[in-house]
Amino acid sequence: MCSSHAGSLPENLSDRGKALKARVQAWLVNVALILVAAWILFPLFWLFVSSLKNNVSIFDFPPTILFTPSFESYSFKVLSEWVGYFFNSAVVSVCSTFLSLVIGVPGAYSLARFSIPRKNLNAMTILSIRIIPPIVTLVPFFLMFYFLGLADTYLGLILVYAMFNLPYVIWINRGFIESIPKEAEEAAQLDGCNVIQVLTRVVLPMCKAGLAVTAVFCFVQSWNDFPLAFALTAIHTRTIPVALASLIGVRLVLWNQIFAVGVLNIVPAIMLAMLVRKYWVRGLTLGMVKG
Amino acid sequence: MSNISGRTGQVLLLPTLFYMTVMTIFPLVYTAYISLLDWNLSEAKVTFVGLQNYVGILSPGSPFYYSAGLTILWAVSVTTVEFFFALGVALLVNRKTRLASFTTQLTILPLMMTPILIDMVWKYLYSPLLGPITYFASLLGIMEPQFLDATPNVFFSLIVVDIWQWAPFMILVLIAGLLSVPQEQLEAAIVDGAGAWKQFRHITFPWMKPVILVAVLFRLIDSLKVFNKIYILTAGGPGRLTETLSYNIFYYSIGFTQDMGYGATGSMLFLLIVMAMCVPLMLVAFQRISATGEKR
Repeated sequence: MCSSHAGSLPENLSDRGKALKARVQAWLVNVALILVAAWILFPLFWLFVSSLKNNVSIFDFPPTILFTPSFESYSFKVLSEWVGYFFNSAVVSVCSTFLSLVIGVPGAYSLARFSIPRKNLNAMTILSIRIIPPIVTLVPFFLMFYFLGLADTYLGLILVYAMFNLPYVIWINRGFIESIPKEAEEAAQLDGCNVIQVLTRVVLPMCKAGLAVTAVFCFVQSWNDFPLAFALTAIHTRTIPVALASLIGVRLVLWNQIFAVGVLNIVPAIMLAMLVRKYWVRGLTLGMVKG
Repeated sequence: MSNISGRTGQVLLLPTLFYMTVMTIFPLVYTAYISLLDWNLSEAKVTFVGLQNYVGILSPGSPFYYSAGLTILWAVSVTTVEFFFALGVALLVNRKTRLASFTTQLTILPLMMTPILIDMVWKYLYSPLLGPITYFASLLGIMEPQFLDATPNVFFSLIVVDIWQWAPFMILVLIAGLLSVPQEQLEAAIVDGAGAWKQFRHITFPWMKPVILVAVLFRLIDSLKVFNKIYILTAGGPGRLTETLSYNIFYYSIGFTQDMGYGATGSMLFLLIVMAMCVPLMLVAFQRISATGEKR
């Protein structure tokens, strides 16, 4: 009895020391987490706040945080100039997404399910499109489009974006299709469905998540692209990123108006991306890491 | 599938292969051809000059060497810095508190934002006349800081933007890697009295290796392409000190001078550099992935 009493005393003390250490550690972790969150929010905060300033207060120095918010930059007068660019971005992004899905999904199905010659080589070649810097393709596309009359057309930009989207479509969907059981396809085949029917009626309904992720990635990628659109568009098909960048060179940059358009511009991408948040890592790594 | 012939599979892959041939392989072959021409769009004539463009671009003192070196150095340094930063953050947010999951959700935001807009926001933040960062620097006693107009500041300023923009990619991928580490092994290690470092060194890190490989591979690929940041934040300046390969090739082929021969030659060499750096990594990643895929 005596010994147990003697033993419990220092143990109690060390327990208390451990608890204190754990509490300090938890506190430090929380401080670090808040710092990381603040780091990410800092530019976003200024983007949003600056967009609510008027043409005068945006030039205040030191930059003000407390001010009467003005919706001047979001007014119809300012934004009406941008409707056309939004339309261009939407047309190009939606069509290129659709085109790359139509071309790529059968290819993904083929790589997922069939034993075809040089399968790995094909998969690797498709993946290697992801490596090509967009700038490297500018000179040939610029000249090809010039000769084919595709310069400054929707079609030209759609064709180029569909090409850069293709590795996403094929690699992400391949992974998704491989993860669904084969039995349903075999049954459909016995019922006399041809391969296209099996794909559209059996496989694709079971692989909705894969299609959604790819569609979002293709859309966001086309929506956000700058260098290709910059080189291949002029007055008729200019997309928002190009129009935004063209405002940087002028002498007096109205950041508030740029940022108002910028805020509206990231809304569609963010909303779509939130829908597939669960598969975000899978999309980013073309299915190589299953998040 | 047993009773479908390989032929059907080949037919299904046909549109993809056709599209790639027309839109990827043909343009690259065309680029190789243009690189053999003296072709400036401002002049009417096109002459075949053989390898002369390559001789010119690779002659001693050519700015191409600086751009190539800068691009490689940039890619290697941002990939390294972002990896360690992201590993730290991933380990930090890998716990089950509300604050941790909130921070994780936030890291998705930079990845969804239009890259050109990110660069513009940072240009505003760094702006010498009205930027918030300039103001905070003045509070610390740094007057007239030249974030983008002087070396070496400009490189650090650019790296900071890149970390903000792309470290989240690595953070998310590394979190996915951390979640794949089997908890039983970690618990067993704790029972055996292994400290945090030993747990990381002998369990977490080995399990994460394939994921780390993928994260580094993609980050390396994309950092070699850097263009927007240079175009918006520095326009290659001060002088030509931040002229990366993408910017250099763009500027002298489509942006400023219309020298197609130079653009094509630079593009071919750029592609070679990118392939040399990324393809070996990609092959290793590919083998790892098909190996783990079979195990599952």
